[in-house]
Amino acid sequence: MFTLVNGLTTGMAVFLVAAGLTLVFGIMRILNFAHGAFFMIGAYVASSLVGSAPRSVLALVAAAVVAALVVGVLGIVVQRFVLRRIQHVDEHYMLIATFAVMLVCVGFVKLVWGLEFLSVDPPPGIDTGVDIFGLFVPSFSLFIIGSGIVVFLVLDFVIHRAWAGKMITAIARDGWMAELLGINVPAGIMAAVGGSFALAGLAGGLLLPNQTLSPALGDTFLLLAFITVVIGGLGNVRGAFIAAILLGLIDGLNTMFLPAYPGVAVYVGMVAFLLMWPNGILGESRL
Amino acid sequence: MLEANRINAFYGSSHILHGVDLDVPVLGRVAVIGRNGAGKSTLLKSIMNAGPTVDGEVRWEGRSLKGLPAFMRARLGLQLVPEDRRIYQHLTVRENIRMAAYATAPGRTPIPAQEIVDRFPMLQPISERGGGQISGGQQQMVAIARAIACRPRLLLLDEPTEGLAPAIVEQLAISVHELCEAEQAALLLCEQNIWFARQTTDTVLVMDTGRIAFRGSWQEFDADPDIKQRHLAV
Ligand SMILES: Nc1ncnc2c1ncn2[C@@H]1O[C@H](COP(=O)(O)OP(=O)(O)OP(=O)(O)O)[C@@H](O)[C@H]1O
Ligand SMILES: [Mg+2]
Repeated sequence: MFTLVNGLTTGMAVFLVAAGLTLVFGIMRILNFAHGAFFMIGAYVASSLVGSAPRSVLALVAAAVVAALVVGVLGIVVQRFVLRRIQHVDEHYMLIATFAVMLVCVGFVKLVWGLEFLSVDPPPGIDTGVDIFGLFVPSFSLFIIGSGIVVFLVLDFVIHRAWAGKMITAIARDGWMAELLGINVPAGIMAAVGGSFALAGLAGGLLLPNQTLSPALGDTFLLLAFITVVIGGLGNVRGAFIAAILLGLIDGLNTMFLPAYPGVAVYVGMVAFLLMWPNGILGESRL
Repeated sequence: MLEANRINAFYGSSHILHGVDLDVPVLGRVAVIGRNGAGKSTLLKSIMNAGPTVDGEVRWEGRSLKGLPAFMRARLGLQLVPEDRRIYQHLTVRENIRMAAYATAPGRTPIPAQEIVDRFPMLQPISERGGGQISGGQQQMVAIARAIACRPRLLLLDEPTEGLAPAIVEQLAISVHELCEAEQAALLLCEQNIWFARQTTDTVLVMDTGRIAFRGSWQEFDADPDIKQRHLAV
């Protein structure tokens, strides 16, 4: 049970980061190595707003929303000046270009927020724990699990049910035809990519408490998010959600049975999943 | 209404269209016929600025379209129905039709999807089906219905009869004729099916390896069997 809660918490935290990453891939066919860095910028922006002890859950969520907006705007800038130019070139260049963007982001964070580690406490209300069937569960874990589920449900609705999502999917699947139907494709892509980046910023804000903020924060999450995106099927948000839960649970079991080797099981799991489903559990998707 | 002057079109370094001139008058009905690979689709894409690199002038109602992206041209009232139809599979037939509303010219209102469905008897039973669950003939109907939904001034149809059974082709000829009349739209049609082209147009251009080899009425076309022999026979 403890493993379950821990695993789900890790899983949902990773999903929050992976969602934007898989969306950018679904829309532009670009794997954005800078995604983790934008997640980190979101965390720093939120921390500047709430300080080291946020006053309430609402203040934390509000800071996360502001971080989402800031990172969303940054995303539009990156899309306009970098991603758009590399969309049709060789994959190596995509990799190098987004890696360069990541370095710039990390440098920017060092300049603005410095090198020392910052930490933020969970706000009152979710700073203790609750008793579930005689088990002590940190309420901040429940907050993360809840956030992950809410973000997933909203995204899933927007992508598959809302008209805007259908339009973005139409652009991602056949942009040429979308143009002929009078749709302003570059504007649509820009909005969608901005939204995906905003998700990274939102994740940064929501996951802020109990993190040690340092300029290396992006890397930690980026790797897990990448694994999630690949296992779930590139561009597939539902796949990422399922993969994130599985990875979280695997990681939880790892901690329980092999505490001396943290994180190994995730890699073993990745290899196993990819052998079974080379294109991801739910398959690759253009959204 | 649409004028193209000395159009040269390129895919990378291959030169596909060589100095093509074209004129579609208001309510004109123009067919471009030619063998596979003659450059018919390239001509339509050049007019829309949707693919090839184009050199030369495309004018719409006297105004040059230079530099205007495809979606802006669509919003001026030019609707291309591509030869591969490109119905969105993640959308229902009705949603596919609704998607075209963005191409409605300023001051015009799109035809509601329901009205379009009512107008095409073939679409009624399939309007809630996914775009991937309909036959080729139905897809062609949806593609044309979708193009009509934004009330275009000029319909550019690329080989609508390709892969359709003869009975469907006959039905399609009637539909296309009626739609253009009802919507007061001009028609620029690329076809290999001469029967269909004759039913739906009054002027014919023959294209051979990226050049216009003949232009005239269908009577003039018939009067010169040599044209068929030289530019259309395979
Ligand atoms: N995307 C492309 N890249 C490079 N060459 C192309 C491309 N599309 C078409 N071509 C070439 O341009 C020439 C004209 O092609 P186009 O599609 O315009 O012919 P078409 O008259 O429409 O033929 P069809 O009747 O087979 O549709 C052909 O030689 C074709 O190989
Ligand atoms: Mg063609």
